[in-house]
Amino acid sequence: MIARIIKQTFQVAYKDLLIEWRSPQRVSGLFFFALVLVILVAFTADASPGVLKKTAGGALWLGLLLASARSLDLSYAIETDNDALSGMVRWPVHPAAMFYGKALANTAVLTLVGMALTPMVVVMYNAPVQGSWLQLAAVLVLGGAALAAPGTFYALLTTRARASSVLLPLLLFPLVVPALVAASRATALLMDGDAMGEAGSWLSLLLAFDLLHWSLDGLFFGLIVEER
Amino acid sequence: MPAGYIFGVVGLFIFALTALAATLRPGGVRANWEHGIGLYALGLLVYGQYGGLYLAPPDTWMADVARILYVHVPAAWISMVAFTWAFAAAFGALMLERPKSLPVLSAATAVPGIGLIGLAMALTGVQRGLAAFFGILLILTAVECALLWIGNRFFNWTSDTLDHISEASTEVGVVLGVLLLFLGSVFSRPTFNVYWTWDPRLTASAVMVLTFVGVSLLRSSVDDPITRRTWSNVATILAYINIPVTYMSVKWWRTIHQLQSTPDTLSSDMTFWLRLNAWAFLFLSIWFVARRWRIARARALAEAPPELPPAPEIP
Repeated sequence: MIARIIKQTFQVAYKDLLIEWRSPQRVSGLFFFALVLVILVAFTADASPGVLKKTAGGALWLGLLLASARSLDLSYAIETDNDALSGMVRWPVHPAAMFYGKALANTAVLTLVGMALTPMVVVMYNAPVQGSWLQLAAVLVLGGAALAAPGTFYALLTTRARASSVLLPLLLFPLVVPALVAASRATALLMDGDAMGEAGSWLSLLLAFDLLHWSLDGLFFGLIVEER
Repeated sequence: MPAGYIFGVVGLFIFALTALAATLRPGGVRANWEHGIGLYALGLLVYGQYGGLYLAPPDTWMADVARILYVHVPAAWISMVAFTWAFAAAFGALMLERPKSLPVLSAATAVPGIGLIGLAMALTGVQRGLAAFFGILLILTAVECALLWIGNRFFNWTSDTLDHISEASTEVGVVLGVLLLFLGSVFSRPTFNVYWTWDPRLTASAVMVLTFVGVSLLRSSVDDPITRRTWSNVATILAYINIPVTYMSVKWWRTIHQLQSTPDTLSSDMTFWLRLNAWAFLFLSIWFVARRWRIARARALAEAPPELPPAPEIP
């Protein structure tokens, strides 16, 4: 049973990533969308170098968050187009496998976009990373996972609701405030050298958020898929 | 027993009496029983606000400005209470879709819950706190499951009943939360010299209210009643569980809110009026929830498909 769920999880993740691979304009579109946002934040902030440096971490995560809302919408658009989701439910794919597979694929996409975006932020905001690169990579992976798990969950709810394009951000953004705070603080600290060694505690907050949502959302996903 | 509690006991008595009388009335509920507690709450509110404005002593440092706390603090407490009702009712609505599992779950949570409380007695420090916390959580789950089972068995509670309560409580919580934020910013102007500060409790409350606004909107934008019920209840549970995490994150982020006052730091006259107003808000919100619950029920009835015509008789 467990082995089958794990196998199906990877199959679902593979399927989603394969679709992304075959239409790479989606991931690149996401990247440029986030990049535009990062540039726009620089326009709205005070352009003096000290200020820009301090807003770099926040800008990176704001860009990723807004891009994630688009990418999550798209991740279900491929399921609803030909009613592929019903097919998956009836195959039968275990709901947990469906959730974890999609969440893994979304995490991979978001982390990839984040990793491509970081050098751009470093260059454009003149904020060289003075802390450990390894920790920054961990922030990107855990932060991507923190946006992907509740995102995968709520995106399914909102695809079926009216006014879904407004509803998803409204439901998702307040919920991921802890992840956003932790990830952008950790990123800003790592860019600033992290003299006090505080990034670790933000990482552990991010990890706690991930644990909470990856376990609970997976548990509840069965309920919301069943009702279709 | 502090004097403020008398008013609470009287109110709970009125609540229990009217609700019970309405439930046990032969021929079903006809009178709107919640008006009893509503009238009591209004009386308490008028008395409490008069007391807070004129009778309570002024604060040592903030003088008369601090009188806003007789509305601000009850709004904060009771909005949290209302969200807790929304959470408990959402959990109940999900559980009542599988009523057969209720006695099992009740027993399965009561036994380890009692065990953990016993363990907490033997432990000390952080471990004691953790054991007690999870023990109480499990026992509360067991109590709720038992109550749900009784309600389902003897009082015809269904998943829809609790869903409507959750819907009502969410909205009452949002209204009180908005009141809390508004009064907080009125209070913060003369004391912190700004309308808004990015302090953990302010920020966490604002995020909490926004989260539940989202849940409310989700409820209003799904058409199918059964889907709407499940989805909004799951969303309510997630939103509620997220509150402590949000609070922790913004607490680490920055902090300037004044330390919480305790009965030891307040004059006993102030505690009395504060408690009185808190009771008034609690009963008022029970009244609101009950009124809103009736509206939700009426809407659900109006939404329900018309009954099928009787089957034609087969000759």
